[in-house]
Amino acid sequence: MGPVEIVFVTVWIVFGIIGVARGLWRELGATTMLLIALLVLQLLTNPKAPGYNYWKLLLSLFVTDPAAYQPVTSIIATVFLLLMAFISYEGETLTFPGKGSNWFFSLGAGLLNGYLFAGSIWFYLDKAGWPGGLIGPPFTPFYTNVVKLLPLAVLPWWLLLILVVFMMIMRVLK
Amino acid sequence: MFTFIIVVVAAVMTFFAVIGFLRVVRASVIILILLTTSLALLQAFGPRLIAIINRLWQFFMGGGLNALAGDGGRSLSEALSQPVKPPIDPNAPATFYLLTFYFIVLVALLIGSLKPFLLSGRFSFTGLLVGLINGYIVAAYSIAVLFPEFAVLPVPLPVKGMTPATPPQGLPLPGTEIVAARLLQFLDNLGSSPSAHFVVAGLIIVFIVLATRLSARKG
Repeated sequence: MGPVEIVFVTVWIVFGIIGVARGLWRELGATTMLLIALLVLQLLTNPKAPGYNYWKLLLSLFVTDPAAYQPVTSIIATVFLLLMAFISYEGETLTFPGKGSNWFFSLGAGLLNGYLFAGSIWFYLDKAGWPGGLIGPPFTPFYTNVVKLLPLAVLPWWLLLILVVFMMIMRVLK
Repeated sequence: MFTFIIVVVAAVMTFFAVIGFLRVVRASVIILILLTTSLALLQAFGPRLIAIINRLWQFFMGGGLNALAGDGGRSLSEALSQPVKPPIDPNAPATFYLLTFYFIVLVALLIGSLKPFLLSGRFSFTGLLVGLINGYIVAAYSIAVLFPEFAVLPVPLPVKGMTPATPPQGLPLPGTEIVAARLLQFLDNLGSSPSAHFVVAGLIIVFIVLATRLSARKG
């Protein structure tokens, strides 16, 4: 296991602990917000998604070198994710209506949010080739296997759309 | 041993993250500023600090105070030229640097626990993020000194004599451990499967349904 895995697994665990502290219903609100953020990012930054051409057009206004598209996209996406996580966790937040909670599901929801948040940042930093020069190949087998299972690597935009709609329905049903 | 290192890193980062989460973000930012400032000072003035401490030590142990008072019959230059073993080896300053760093960490934690920074009734996500960075810094420098062969975490400010010049790129999971090998195999199979996205989305949906239904029933 290398430095990237150690740090991101720790962040993931911390999100689990935060989940227990905040409770299930608040965590589900954060899950919804993070899924919306991922949907937006997938729609715009994934080359197979319908919004990618618009994104490239927008980028070309500010970035002249096409080789810099991916790093710039990754940095913007990471900042956007941090902003969305901030909105989801700080102050008055979207909360699912519900009474009671149990620590097991709160922990699970926290871990799910950690996977969505930390996993997506990992995905974009990996795509950008780890800017800053502190991290570089060779990566461990654990890294190369996990990177294939990060949220944005496995969830296409249409599946994220289904998940967002599902969360909305669950919010209304409660 | 490597598992122990991971546990130490996770514990230190979690500790600082929880502190950041429970207190407002100002506490974590103050801690971060103190940590980075102390590291920058160690990077720039570390050898000079060691020289001063060693010189002071030699002064006191060689009877410098008596020489100053003029009652030992010894001149100041004699006192300073006495052969006294220095307390800090300038060629191996890592332990001294780490202890200095820990002292700053302790001071930073105490400052962070002052009344203006204490919990004001609301958890802080930005405090959590800054706390994670603080925890990472403390863990990375601790491992660089205490377990240099496992110093895989890159450090933001290399300090000569404290951090390795060329850190190891990464350590593979021990291949002999059956659980680790099976986990890797499972991740590889899942990641390579064309239905991975359905599996992940399905797991999320099942979890949400179970969590909302079963928790509501308990409430």
